Amino acid sequence: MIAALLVGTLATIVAVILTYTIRHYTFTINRLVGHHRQPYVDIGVADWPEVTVLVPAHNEERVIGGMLDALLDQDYPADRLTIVPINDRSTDATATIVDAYAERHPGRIVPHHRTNGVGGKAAALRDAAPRFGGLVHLVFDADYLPGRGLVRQLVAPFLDPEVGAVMGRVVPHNISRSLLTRLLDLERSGGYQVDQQARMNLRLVPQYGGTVGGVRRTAVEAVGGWSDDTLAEDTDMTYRLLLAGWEVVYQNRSECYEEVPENWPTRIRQIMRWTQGHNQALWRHWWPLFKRPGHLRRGLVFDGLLLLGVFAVGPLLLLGWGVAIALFFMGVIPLHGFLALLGITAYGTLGNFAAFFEVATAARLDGTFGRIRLLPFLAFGFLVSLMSVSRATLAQLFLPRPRQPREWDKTERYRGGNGSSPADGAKRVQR
Amino acid sequence: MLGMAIPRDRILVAGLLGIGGAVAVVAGLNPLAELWARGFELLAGPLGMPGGVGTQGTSILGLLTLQTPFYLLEAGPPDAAMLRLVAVLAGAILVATMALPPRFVPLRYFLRFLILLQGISLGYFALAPAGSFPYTLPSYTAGLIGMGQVVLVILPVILAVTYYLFDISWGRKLLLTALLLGHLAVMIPLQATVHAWLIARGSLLFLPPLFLVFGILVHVLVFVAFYGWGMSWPSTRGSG
Repeated sequence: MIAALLVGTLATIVAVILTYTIRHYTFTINRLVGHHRQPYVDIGVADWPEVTVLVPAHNEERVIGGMLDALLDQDYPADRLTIVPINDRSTDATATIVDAYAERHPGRIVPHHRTNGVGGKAAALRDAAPRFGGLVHLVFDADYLPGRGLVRQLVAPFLDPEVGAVMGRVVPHNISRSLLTRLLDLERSGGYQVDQQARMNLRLVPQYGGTVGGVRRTAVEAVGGWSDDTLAEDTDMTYRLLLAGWEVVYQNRSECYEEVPENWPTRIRQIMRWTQGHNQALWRHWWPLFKRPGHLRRGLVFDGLLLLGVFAVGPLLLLGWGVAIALFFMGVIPLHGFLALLGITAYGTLGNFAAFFEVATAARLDGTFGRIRLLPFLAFGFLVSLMSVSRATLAQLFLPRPRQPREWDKTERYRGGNGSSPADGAKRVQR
Repeated sequence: MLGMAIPRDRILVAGLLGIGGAVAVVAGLNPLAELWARGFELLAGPLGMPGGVGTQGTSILGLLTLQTPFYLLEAGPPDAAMLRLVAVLAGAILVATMALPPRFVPLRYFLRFLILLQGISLGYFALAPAGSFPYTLPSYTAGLIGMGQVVLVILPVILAVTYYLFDISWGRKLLLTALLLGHLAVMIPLQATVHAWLIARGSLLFLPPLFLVFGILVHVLVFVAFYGWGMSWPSTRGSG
């Protein structure tokens, strides 16, 4: 009886994991042989709309100046571009720096200072966004370094009236700092070059990631504005726009450089924050999506549900390991017979290999081959991610008071010290 | 940036090589098993593992009988002294992981996972009725070798889908395939030998963590390491 129950549980978990594995292979093969859909990338001349760039910032004195310089240097018509640094109760020199820029560039930089209310990026956006007009609101984190043509590239898709949100590609620039940064560079490649672009190709659900992207202002207003009670306002917005019938677009060529965590404790905090935010979105949106509003295709709903559940796979996998270990001790897992060996071995090899295949393919598509030699070390990253995602999920489920995004929970910044230059990441030459 | 324009003939050749490679490996498995069996016989004496070598035949869909060599070696459950010793060692390693600096977080997690598995095994042998452990050392080594044989067979197919499609010269692709198969052909019996030696010397207490962590996962990581190396090779167009 117990064995049958455990076998049933394991079979269910294996079925879920296999679904994600097939999804990995499908996306990767699509990027290898499928049609590459980038309908807006060649738009160079247009009647460019008014754009507001929102830059939420909390204690960003080390990086905010570089961000504002990069935005001022954009090739977008200056009279249609308003830059809004949202200084959210910084206690360092962020406010002074922002105000100095505004004084030097009146009308182009319009700071918004927050001194009270709920803290955090989501709340900052909810507070500031309704105060500014324009067809498009682009959002950048303060540590990002947009290239000169990025705003134009990100705005181009909004010329299509069906587009509600656009996401660009994030590329680490502090790659050479540690083994972790190199591994994150590989992971990011897989996530954007293969995952996001394949979802774009297959007309599934590219995810708006909250930075290096933007939203149509009226679309956001129509779905009720930014939520300030979530740790992942980006995922939340992706699904609210999707459910309301807006299209989310991914632009693989619209690259922007970011700092990735340089040490494991910072990385673990980042993963745990993402997990809890993503799980909040899962809780809120799975049922409305599952009911499938008439305008959404079945494939899109299926992919949307898989994307929503992606952080729930971690604890599920751990549970599967636990059940498999129990069955192993009970002698239910056979170590004999051709079909049994074939099943276990094929699952163990093909299943575990899918993510490595995706990352290696992404790196080759990027045209940078040498870094692929680090592939086996990704296993360390997967192990840390698995444990961190599971810890965050369990804490969310069982701790009496779920963590609310009342304060900023930021990733550590490194620039301003002896960090690497953006050129480090810019070496990623794309074909 | 575009996806890769893969010529149809490359897809065709990849498919044929993948299937042909798998068939060739299947054809070579029994001679290889004979070599492994001789290797086991050679190693058993110096390693102090008396008992000889057995061979198990597994029918593959009635078309072929695959021979799998294994060590005919007895290993018993741990005695009380062994249980205490391993419990103390596991506790010491657990404490040591707390002292590891932050840059060793992945190692910390790995060691703790290993200790967890060893701890479960300790608990099992301390509490379960004598003789209830469902695996013997011969059946275990036969299973491990059998899994290795399956890995060898499916490798060409996996490479066909995940490696041969890329614009890397066919010479390099075949070289990587040969290196990988050759490496595994040597590693698989040696891995089984190390496992058998540890279990014979240390008792069945070590079988679960060895199988769950140092079994097929090692094959996968070896494959990934070779694959990563092969994928880092330049394309025939010379970019990269």
